[in-house]
Amino acid sequence: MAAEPVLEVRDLSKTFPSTGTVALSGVSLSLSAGEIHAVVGENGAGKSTLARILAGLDRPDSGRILVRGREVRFRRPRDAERLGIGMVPQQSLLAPGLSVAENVVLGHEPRLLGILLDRRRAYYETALASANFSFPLDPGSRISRLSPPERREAEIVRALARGGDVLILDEPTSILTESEAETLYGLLKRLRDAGASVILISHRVREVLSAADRITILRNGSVVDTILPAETDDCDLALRMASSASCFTADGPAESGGQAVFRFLGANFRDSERVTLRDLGFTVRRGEIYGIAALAGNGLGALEDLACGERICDSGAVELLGRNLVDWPRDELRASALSYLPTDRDGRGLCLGATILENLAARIGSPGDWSRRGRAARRAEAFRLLEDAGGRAPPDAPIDMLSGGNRQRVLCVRELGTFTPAVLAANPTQGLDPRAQEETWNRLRSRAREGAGILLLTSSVDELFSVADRVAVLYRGRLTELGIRTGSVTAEAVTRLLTGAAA
Amino acid sequence: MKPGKEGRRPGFPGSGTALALGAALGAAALYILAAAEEPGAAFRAFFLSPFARPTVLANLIEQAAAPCLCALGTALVFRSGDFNLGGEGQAYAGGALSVLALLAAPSLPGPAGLAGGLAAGAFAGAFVALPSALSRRNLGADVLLSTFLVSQAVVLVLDWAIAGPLRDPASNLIATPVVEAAYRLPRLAPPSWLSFAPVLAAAAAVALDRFLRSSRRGLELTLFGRNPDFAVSMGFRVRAYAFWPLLASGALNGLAGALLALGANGRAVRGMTGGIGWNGISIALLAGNDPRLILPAALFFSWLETGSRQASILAGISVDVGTVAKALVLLFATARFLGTARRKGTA
Repeated sequence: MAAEPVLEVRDLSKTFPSTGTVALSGVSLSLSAGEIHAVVGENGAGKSTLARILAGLDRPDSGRILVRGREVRFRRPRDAERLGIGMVPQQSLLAPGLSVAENVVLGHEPRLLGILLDRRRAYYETALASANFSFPLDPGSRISRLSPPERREAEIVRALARGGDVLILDEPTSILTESEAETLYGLLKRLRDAGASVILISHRVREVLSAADRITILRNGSVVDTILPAETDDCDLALRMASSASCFTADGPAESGGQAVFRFLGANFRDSERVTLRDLGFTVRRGEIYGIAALAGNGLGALEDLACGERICDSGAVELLGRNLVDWPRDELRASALSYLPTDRDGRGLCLGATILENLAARIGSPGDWSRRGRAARRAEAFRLLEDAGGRAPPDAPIDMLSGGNRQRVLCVRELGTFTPAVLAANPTQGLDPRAQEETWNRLRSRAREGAGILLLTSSVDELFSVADRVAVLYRGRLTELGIRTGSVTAEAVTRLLTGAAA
Repeated sequence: MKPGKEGRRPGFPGSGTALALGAALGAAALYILAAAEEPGAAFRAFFLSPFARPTVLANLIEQAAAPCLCALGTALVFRSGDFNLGGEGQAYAGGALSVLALLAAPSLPGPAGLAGGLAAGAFAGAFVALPSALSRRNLGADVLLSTFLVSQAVVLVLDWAIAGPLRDPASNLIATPVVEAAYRLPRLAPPSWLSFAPVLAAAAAVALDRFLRSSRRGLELTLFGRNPDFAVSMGFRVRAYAFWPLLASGALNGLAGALLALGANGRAVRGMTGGIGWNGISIALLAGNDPRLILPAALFFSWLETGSRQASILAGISVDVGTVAKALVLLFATARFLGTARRKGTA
């Protein structure tokens, strides 16, 4: 490694005041010229916050950033760009209707006579940059016609087109297949050999081990260690990333043998933006909590869409209580069969702009009832639910006034306040404090005891081991069932599977 | 559960309405000050004379009925998350079809004929809204555009038909023949035109308010309007909510047109709706799409119109003063609506 780091951070800290979350605490790391430096960690470890600070999108509370030995302060992304730092975010920010060249020069368009876009120069600059990295990109193709890896290439070209030599990639393979990911890593190595430096944010252990020169492990906002790939292996690295290093064991009750509630029969599903789900087959029975864990970008969202009936699988089937999910009338399904806590709390789970009471009352009472008595009864029931949740907010206040955690509590009491035979809980404790988290888990447990079949989708291993009776892991769209309550499944094994270490 | 730090308190309720009303009245007052030779007399004529004589007051109330129905229709579609800009054509079609139906069936008992005529009007309005409702439900098409375009086409066709094949050759007006007197709205307090139309409008407002605030379906419709994704995930009947409000809105507009045609006119006159669809939208915006406030807002609009007419007769002020005041209401009420939409992140 070269002596002077290209980019260095010292004691970087960042707290988000609105939620009180400590995203980074005293993080230090350095990036040498011609190095691929991976930053790994579980969801919520602070990786993306670090990337955003380095790209000038967020400002740290304290700590220093040094570029080629000189201390700098980024007020906006352009400040970072000027110093040669470009970022490729997790979600593509390319304009799909424009060409590669138009996207690359966006915001820095070469001008003709000061007003017109100099298309020829834009094409030339883009072609030159692509050729420098040996990318076979056609500057004239529309982004919408490119494959996912080609889009990543276009984003890299854009990030480095203005003379940049430090590239930050945030989970670059989350939308790529395995072979596409390999292509991307090949390309990063070429960049490195050409002298560029790369910070690679990822939670995919095996990929990181094969591509990185050094690895910094983040856990709960702090650096655990910075190591060379040769000093570790996939299992060790996965374990070091896990926030719950102790080995929980799964020791739930014996298989209930009850009626099947959710049943996936060889379901295949391809979502153009996300991972393909392949041949999913599992059954959730009455009286049990079946937990599936996955990190972002491995198909958990698509699985949630299938399980709640929002999407239909391409082949295979998804059954709820013995009936194909597509045959369920939606209103009957949600009124009497399925309670649903979506990951997208503010989009799907709650109606922002409406009052707390309206959000609660949306599942109470008979839809045909116009009477004032019916309305009073609905309000009374909603009040009861709100009190159950320990609510002190005015019930007629807009739900937007509540903090994220409290919104999640409203969602929980609405969906878990009354019994349904099926419960789909996707990241049900996101944003909750430990006490509220425990409350929600207790609600899930008591629903299961009453005979509901619960499908828990989560990105937290802690949650998986706290409530699930049976556990499975989804990695790149494939499900690995770990079974069960024999006490043999450990958090370590799950973390290894989650990160692809044992795939 | 305490409000989060990031929470915002909602503004003082009705502050936007007060601003719109104040601006309208202020503009009317300024106009009168600038234009009137005797501002005192003009002020009296504009602001007070509508209440000075029972006949004028009764006409003011009657005039509020049809725009009130249009506004209720606008509010209903707005609750479902969209805008019906086709009120004009829907009302025109309602007026024309109610008259044509009664001309074609001249031997019914009076009340049955009248009821049939009003029903035909509501049907015609709903029929004009049907293509937009179907395309919204099945294709997710833009209601704002489709209602406006269909309505414009209907207005052109009816203008031509009333001036051509449907025209009463014996009349000096460009209008259809007059329907039988028994089919026209009964006058409750002659010489004014006061009929049961305001009662009908008030009943519709109460029913709509009851539906939206007391029924679960009404709540579902409102939540669907605010967040369709949420409605889908809750299993609401989203296809129905994308369809029926628009159709009902068309029917209310059609009914408003029928009331106009079977009231003072007794026939379909070319251009008879005279901007009623737009007035309906202004009234709905002024009332914040709350059915409880729509009738008062319609009465306010009717007062502005009557006042400007009285001021032009009694004090020589141009009738434009009322138009300017209404335009300002629309401007301020729309600005408020845009402000709300932007806070919701939808504009």
